[in-house]
Amino acid sequence: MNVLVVHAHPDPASFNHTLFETAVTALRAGGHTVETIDLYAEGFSAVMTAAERKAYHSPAPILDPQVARHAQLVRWANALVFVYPTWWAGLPAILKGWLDRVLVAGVAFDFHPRTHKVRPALRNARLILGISTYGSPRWFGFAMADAGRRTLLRALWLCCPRRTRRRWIAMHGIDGTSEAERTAFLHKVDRELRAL
Amino acid sequence: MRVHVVYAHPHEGSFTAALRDAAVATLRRHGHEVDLLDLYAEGFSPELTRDERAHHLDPVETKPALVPFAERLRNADALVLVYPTWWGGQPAILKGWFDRVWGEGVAFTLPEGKDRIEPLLTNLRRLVVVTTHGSSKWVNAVEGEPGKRIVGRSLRVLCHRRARFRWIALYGADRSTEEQRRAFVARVERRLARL
Repeated sequence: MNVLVVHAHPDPASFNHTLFETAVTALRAGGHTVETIDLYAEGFSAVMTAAERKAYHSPAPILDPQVARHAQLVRWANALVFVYPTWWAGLPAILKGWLDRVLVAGVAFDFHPRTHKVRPALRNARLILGISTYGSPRWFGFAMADAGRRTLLRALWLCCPRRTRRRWIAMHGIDGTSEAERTAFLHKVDRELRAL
Repeated sequence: MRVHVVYAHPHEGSFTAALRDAAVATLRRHGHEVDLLDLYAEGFSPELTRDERAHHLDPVETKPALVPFAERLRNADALVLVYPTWWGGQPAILKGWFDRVWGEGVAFTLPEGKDRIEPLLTNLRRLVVVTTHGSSKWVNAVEGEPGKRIVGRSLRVLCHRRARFRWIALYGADRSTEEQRRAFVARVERRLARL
């Protein structure tokens, strides 16, 4: 499969970044063609500009060459993999902004010309997979409603063909985990992505 | 009450800008003191930095860029968020305001030896969202309303114990008529009049 891995963490020395590298290595070992977007490393701007907002409902909503390149990768991908820490129950702003700016009409969905209803356009997508770490213990994560997971596995999934599969690999209570638990989680990610 | 209104939309001629104006005018008319934060106009940068991540448990006073935002939040009795819903949630610029400003020492604290965070924004007794959704209420229900959950649950537990959460939303805004939008402005005014 063509796999696009999108990563959002500001610190290349973080555990989350190690998860990202583990995922990419495992996917390549599994024989997949992998492209990556490391949002912080690329200096991606999360903020949709006024010009982009004005162009949003036009036939040409993409104005920035970096956004155009990312959109091309999204269209190419059969699997979209996201590796990020959950902050305030949701996506880090840089990743939320990536959805706002890159997944526009003509990429993730189309506006019906007459009724203006949104129609799915991620025709190549066969899998959405999220790998996320949570600071809070699991019960608190539930109370906090897991909005990031809902954004990717529901809102984004609505733009995919109906047979598109969804997978979520989560590590809860990251702040209090031991070295051994982290290593075990890395092994789990490696195992699951190799077998994809 | 002192009301902190946080507004996020890139385009000054937008319907969301009209909602902001209606909200601010209504609040002032009813005797509230309004402190308006326009994230786009301020050029707020929503990406939590590497340095902030490394020091995320340090007091906010050590992060000069965030102090003014934290002070405004601490000085309010009510918080009103005005934004368009994109991808089920807040525009990145507003999500980043949560990520960066609602940190340790401002929104919560993790006391020594405890494993549960404690709320610090107990000054906030009202939490109000005014938002528009391009898609229908049904589609948003399927998506699970991520943006509503972040504010109504995650942020609310860091406010006053009896803080009230109010959700004022226009669904199907992409296909709404002039009349429906006017009715929604009236609804915003009516509900904020009874803050």
